[in-house]
Amino acid sequence: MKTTKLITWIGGLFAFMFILNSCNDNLDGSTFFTTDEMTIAGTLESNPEKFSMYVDILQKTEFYTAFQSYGSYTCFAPTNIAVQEFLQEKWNVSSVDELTSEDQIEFLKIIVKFHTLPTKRAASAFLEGRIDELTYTGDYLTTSFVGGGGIANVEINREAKLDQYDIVTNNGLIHAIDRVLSPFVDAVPKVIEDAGTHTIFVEALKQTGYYDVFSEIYNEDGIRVNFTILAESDAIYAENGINSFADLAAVISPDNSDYLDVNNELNRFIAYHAASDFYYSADFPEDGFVSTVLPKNAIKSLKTDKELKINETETGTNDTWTSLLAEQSNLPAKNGVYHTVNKLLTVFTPKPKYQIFDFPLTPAVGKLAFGKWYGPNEPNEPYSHGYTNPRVFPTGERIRILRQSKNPSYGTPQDGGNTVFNMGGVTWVEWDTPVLPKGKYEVRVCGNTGNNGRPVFQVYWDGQPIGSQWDMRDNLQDVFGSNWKDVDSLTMRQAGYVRGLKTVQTNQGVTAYDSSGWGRFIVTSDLLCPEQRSHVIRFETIRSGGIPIDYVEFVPVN
Amino acid sequence: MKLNIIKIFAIVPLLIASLASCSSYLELEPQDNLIQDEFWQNKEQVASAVAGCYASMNQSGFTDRVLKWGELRAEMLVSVRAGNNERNMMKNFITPTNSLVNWNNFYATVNYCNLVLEFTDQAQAKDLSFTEAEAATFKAEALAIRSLVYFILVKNFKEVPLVLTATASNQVNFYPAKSSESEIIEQIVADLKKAVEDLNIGYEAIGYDKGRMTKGGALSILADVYLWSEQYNECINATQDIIDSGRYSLVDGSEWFNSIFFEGNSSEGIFELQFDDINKTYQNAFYFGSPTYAPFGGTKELYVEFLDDVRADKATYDEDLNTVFKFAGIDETGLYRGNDEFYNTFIFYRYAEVLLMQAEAYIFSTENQNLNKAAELIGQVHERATGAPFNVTIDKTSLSNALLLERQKEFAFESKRWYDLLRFARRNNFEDQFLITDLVDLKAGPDDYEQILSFYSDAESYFLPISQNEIDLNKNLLQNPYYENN
Repeated sequence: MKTTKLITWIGGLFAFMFILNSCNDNLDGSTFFTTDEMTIAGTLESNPEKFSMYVDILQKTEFYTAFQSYGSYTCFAPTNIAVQEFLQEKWNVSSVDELTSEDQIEFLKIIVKFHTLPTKRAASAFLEGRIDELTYTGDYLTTSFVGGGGIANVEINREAKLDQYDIVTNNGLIHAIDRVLSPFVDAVPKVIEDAGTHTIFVEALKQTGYYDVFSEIYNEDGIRVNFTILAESDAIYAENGINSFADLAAVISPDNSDYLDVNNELNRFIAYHAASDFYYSADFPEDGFVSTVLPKNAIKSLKTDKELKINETETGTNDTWTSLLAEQSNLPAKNGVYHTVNKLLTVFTPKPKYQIFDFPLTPAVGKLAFGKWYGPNEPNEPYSHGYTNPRVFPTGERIRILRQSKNPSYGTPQDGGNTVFNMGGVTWVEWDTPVLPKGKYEVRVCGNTGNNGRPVFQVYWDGQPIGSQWDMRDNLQDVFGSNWKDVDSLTMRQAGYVRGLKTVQTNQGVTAYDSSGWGRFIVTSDLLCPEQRSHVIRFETIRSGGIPIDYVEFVPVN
Repeated sequence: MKLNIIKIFAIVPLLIASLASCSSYLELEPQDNLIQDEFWQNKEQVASAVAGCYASMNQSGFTDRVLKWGELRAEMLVSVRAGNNERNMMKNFITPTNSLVNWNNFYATVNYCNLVLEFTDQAQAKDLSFTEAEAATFKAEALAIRSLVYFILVKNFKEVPLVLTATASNQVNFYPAKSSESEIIEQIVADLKKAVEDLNIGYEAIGYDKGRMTKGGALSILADVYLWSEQYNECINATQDIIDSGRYSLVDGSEWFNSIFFEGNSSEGIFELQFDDINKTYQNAFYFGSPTYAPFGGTKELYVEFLDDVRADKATYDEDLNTVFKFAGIDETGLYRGNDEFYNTFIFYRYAEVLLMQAEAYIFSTENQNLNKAAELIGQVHERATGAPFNVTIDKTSLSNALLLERQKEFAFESKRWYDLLRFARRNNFEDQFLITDLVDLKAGPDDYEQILSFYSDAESYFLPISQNEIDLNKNLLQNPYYENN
């Protein structure tokens, strides 16, 4: 009895094993992954004919493991030929192994950080100008199409070409490049000087003392400072009959040779050629002002369908405006960028005009990645900006740019549209406005209103309270009832509101005009600005709350 | 014990079941053999297979690409809400991963044609009522369709694999390499000549007459191929055969919009793809409620010289709504087709183009250059539309400029413009490349001039990349060098 049972079981077992075997598949022994893509490190390593030397550098600098782990990077990987050339030129060695000193390793670390972005940037996102994201050294890499020949011919920092682009890995993208990029070391004036094509302008920088001012890379607090310089090349000066520094001085400041004096005309002329921030050509506002280093002055920027017009008079009678020469513009340096103007850039006095001051687009903030929190004044963080505009109290509050396509917030195509400036509750936040031409303005603010978690603000203008309080808890429906769309504009104005912009809309096509939460609050209708200059606008909280603010409008009043 | 027996009995069916489950490995016959053999039995089946060739072009995957390949890289359309792939194509920034370069639909049609060509004789032998002449006509239709498809491919990719046998069995080479442009052109020309001999002159029913390949249709493709490959004398002859057939005529100017585009299948139509259902390509692109594309800013300017040009406002475009009116409008009062009223045909060739093709051949032919004749031909199309005489200095440059402009006005948005620019630009080793690089002025904004100029700077980029998918699957396919990325 027991034996039969055993036989049955054994027989059954054999039969069962037979079943199992009969359909045996060939995949036994394989290891399975959730993705068949390799990491950046794995991809580089599996192409030794192209990348073995860069892998050596990564291993030497201990960044190799970073590229092996979870993340999202863009890695500009120089090919073996490029690395070889670089080693030869820099240290006269032929392999990475020969580099042993601390200085050499440190330099390699800078190289790797300079070649790495903290997000994915595909070649399709390259523009003429900077790449949106800072490298881990805190610099912008630039891409340029001036060489022609399409995407495969794009130049990175005008020194390396793409060898292969958009190599997809599971923790980022690799772009192979045919030269090792030289990390930015020199400040803008030195870079202009080295180009050799702007000798008169460089001499003027030196004579006026701005050569040193613009060579600053960190301020006394250790925060990166940046400059954008619009320079005339010798060729442009020659077109205006200026063939030497003496000629320039004779034209601009014929009677006063104390060029170091800030009131000297040449000194003012040079100060007018620079702005205290990064402005690649794509960063110039569509229609607005860029404050210059020359106090109380600004360059007017207007982008038409076709071109960037600097200091366009709007009279249309003569084309006195200036533009940039593509070949000699968007050229990067450690602390900024320079452009070459195609005409003499003289100090220009603009008329009052409608201006929209979009918080997320201010240069200091507008380059932050969407959705990520940034702290202020953190120079040691590799890709923190250390923002200085806005300023907040208590200090240390973090800021971010929110992009929400479901909201009809203001934005431009270049920042993907629909962005707001966002931070948690603070005592106050204040901004330096762009330069406003002298005149009288109506000031309106807009943000994402209609939520009990929002603050109530008193607005201050250059330290003085102006207008009535802006209660962000109320949207238009809260103020005017459910028929708010039927309220006529005059009644609405009397209560301090204007409906939202008709020109901005959500991804569903709903305009701010039709959105109760995106009405504009009139801070004051008669703000007098007796002189042309930049101002400080402060939002002081009477009641604290989360701050999603979008923009301020300055509307000239006759 | 009883339980054990049950267990044993339980194992036996399991065992059997397991054997059965693996038995499909044993079937070595290709599973489609039966179907192919069974199918090609009689005339009706061949007729429905030929209908299948047309139906395969009737897919939006096919006609969408015909429209986009023909227009987006040129200037006539701008994006209202076009997708990324389309907007990149509008900048001539095209990568092998852009799904717009996928040619699957085109090769599907090629394969349907190849099946007809391969199996029609077999069916004819089995069906006594199926005459040789009828079989020849069916095959000629397939040849003409296949030639049209290869011609579209060659204009866009320059070099593509020339597949002339059906993939109906495992004897076929699945990894064909590219053939050169001249090899493909040679093949198309030979095929079309053969097709012209065997095709019907026309059909009774208007939908068939315009919607099926006829002698006139094949001759039109042939003339276009000749023009593309700069065989001008042959082009003159092919177009003359169409003119001499007397079957086609220009519609009256007053009927230009209504007859050709609103009603379709006009007396001018030579080959127009018919749709049983909605023409989704035009519906998606031009429905006035949510158009994907709008006419470019200079559209109106094209027509201002002649006040009475019937092709202007509320015909080619709508000035008030800034929309493409040609395929979306109903009449000059500014009425529009509803979203479910896009029963447009898709016009491949019409008589006006035959006249302008012949004019072009007369301008560029060395042996048969006849500028007066060319002017007379352009004049026919010009006067029909404007009511004004065609006054252009009779010299080669003036006439060729006037011809290109007349084509732009007459065939606006009809998927012709890019090929016109390319055909004119590339004569004499891209002597007139400026025709294409000048597009950058129209396309660039303040921040992307250098970028777009760069995308148009290399003439190699005027031909599309082969889809990355195809490259990955077929090791014999070589990418167009401009797009190489490794």
